[in-house]
Amino acid sequence: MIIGERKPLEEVFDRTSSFNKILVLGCETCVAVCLAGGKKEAEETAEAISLHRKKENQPVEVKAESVQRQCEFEFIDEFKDLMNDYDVVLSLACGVGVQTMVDRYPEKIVLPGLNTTFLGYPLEQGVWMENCQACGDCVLDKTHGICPITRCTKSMLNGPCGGSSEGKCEISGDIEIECGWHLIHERLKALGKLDYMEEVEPPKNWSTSFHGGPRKIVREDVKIVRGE
Amino acid sequence: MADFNPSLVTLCCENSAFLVAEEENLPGVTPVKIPCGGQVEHYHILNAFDQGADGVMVLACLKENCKHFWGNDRAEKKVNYVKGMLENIGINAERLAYSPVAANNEYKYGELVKEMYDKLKEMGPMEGKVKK
Ligand code: SF4
Ligand code: SF4
Repeated sequence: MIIGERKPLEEVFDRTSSFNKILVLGCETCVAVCLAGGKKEAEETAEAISLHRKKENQPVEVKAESVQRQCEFEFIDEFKDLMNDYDVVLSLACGVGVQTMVDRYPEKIVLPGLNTTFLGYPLEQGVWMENCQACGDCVLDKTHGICPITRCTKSMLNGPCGGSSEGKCEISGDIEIECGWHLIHERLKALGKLDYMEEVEPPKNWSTSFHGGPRKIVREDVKIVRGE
Repeated sequence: MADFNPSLVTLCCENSAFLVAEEENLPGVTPVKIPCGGQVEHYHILNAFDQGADGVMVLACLKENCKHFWGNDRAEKKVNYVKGMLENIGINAERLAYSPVAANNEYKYGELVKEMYDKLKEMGPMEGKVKK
């Protein structure tokens, strides 16, 4: 899922300081599950803004709401009327949600209240880790479920690089980073497939990745053409 | 701040602190029953301040004595998190406290609340609050 973190409150207060009617809009999907931008977080952010403005003697009208999925028009359409009552929307959705709102409500100002951080999963309650960079040409079949693009700091397809030590990546400093290729090696060993370590992977096709501008998928089979 | 009478909200677990709190009826103190310390959300605490409290206490069961296993530990962590938020907002984090208290310890509840109340009296009204 998409993992994010609420922006520091100082930044939230600063960006919203010129508005007097603020709608804080959470999203109940990924960012709610990672406890950053759901209904509860929208409510606490709204309370924080209200308290801060009271303290600054600049009262504000602030309301917290949330939507099932802020990245789909069908879901955000229900906020049409409510949007008219507010000067600005502080979105706690990921960057996709913010931009979907802007696309649907171009006359409104929608500010991001969350930093969209990565694609990952919870290792345990309160700990999230990145494990996919959406490269568009998945190689997890070769490495048996451990992503070399994400888990190897250098995104190498033929690893390890030689700098790995005791299972840790050579760039580890104060924070220890596991060597992705050590993990792949251990996984292949457990599966009896260490032969793969001998294979040389040709350069990856990076044209599917994000270096060539925003990617788009078009599926004619599911597009709806009116009148059909 | 001799002439200032603070308003203190105590968010009390129904299995411990609330059983005492509802008997006590201390002036200036508003006890609120919560199903478990773990049920307290950050916005509940902030909302109490937003509605005019000068101080908030979260009172749950003694360590390793929570009916729902770790509700009290979670409450304590949430309080610490909200203390950070209060600092960001510019409110003295000392206005918020977490304390464990047993259901049969009226003395402890009274003592903890009085201590907090006196501290708030000393601190004066909540930052930005117009003194009535
Ligand atoms: S190989 Fe690409 S698509 Fe597959 S997990 Fe890694 S980054 Fe994601
Ligand atoms: S030490 Fe491991 S994770 Fe780090 S760059 Fe080298 S191969 Fe990649």
